[in-house]
Amino acid sequence: MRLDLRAFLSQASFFPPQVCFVPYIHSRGIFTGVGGLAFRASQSLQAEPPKKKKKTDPKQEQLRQHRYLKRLKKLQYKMGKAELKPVEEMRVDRALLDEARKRDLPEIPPEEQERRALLLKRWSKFKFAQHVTETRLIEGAIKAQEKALNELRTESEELYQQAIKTDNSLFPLEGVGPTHTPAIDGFDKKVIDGVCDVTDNTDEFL
Amino acid sequence: MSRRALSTLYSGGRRVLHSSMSWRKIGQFQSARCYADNFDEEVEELRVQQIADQEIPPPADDTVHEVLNIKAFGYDCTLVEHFAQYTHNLSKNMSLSVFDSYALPAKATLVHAIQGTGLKEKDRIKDYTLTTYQRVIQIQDLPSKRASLLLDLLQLNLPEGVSFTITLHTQEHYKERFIRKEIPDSLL
Repeated sequence: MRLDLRAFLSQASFFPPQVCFVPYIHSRGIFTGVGGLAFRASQSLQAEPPKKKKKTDPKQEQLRQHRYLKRLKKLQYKMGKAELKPVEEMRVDRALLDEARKRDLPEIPPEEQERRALLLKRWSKFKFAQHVTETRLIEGAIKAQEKALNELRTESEELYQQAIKTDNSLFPLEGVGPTHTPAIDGFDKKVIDGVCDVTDNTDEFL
Repeated sequence: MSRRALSTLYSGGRRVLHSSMSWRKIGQFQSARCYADNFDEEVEELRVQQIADQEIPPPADDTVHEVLNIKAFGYDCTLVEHFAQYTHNLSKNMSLSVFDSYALPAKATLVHAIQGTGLKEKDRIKDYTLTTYQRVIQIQDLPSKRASLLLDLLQLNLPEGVSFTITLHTQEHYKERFIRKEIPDSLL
């Protein structure tokens, strides 16, 4: 078998028989060769060798960059003014503005008109009373505050100046309104898999 | 350029890529050396439409706050709108100067429900979208004496399901309102 190996390898490879490389076969333990002749294969160079880099002149490079930036700035100017994002709830559907949709309202009998006028008066009276109580509340609070501050001023000018200054730790501030159906503890984790923001077709997981 | 300067330039260990860049964005300028330090950053900046900074007036003195954003938001549009109108009227009543009042676009949130195993197609819990409406009232030069009164009144008069946040106004808040337009790659 070993005698045929050389011939076999010479058939298999493209080298002539005298130049073929014989692998180190462990079977008989006698080896008269020098060192370990082993098969080695180099990486297959299927692409062409890399192109030589052209040395770019620094001034030219700078000029090129400068021109590129100038072109970008010109494009910016051509883009014009920035537009505000549209608010969907302010927009009216075009189909609803159709003239054909307009219709005449029925005539209202005079009793009904009077009833409505009186109702409007009662409502405006009620709302005005609310407004007055609120204004009185605000004025009362401001008066009390001014009185207290004046007393403080007579006591010590320095403390007064300190009291007048703004409190920077106040903002940012949050206030939450009452809810008819407040959230149930633990319900979110049982039912909701995930919540993500889909405005502007961007998915950001919250 | 002197020979010494050139040699220092060529031997300086400059990075090929800045950490904020990706291969796709540099395009034809795959230079190993950037002769202008902030060229890449400038290109990045100029690709998006530049929005001019807003002139935010500074506070008159240290007894008044800066421009404040009172943002009212909630799931019910009418309540949010009416609360915004209420804050506007309240600040006029308290003789505070309203800088600006505007609406921000509504936020759509998709809620994905956990599907139970072995449910038929019709019994499955469907996903739903919730829209949050937002309105902003900006108050300029709020004296610190009146701040607590205003906040108390706002909290007391909050309708059901509406919340508010008060923050200081920044350029980011202003620029968020605009559509982000990029220069398309074909024109570059």
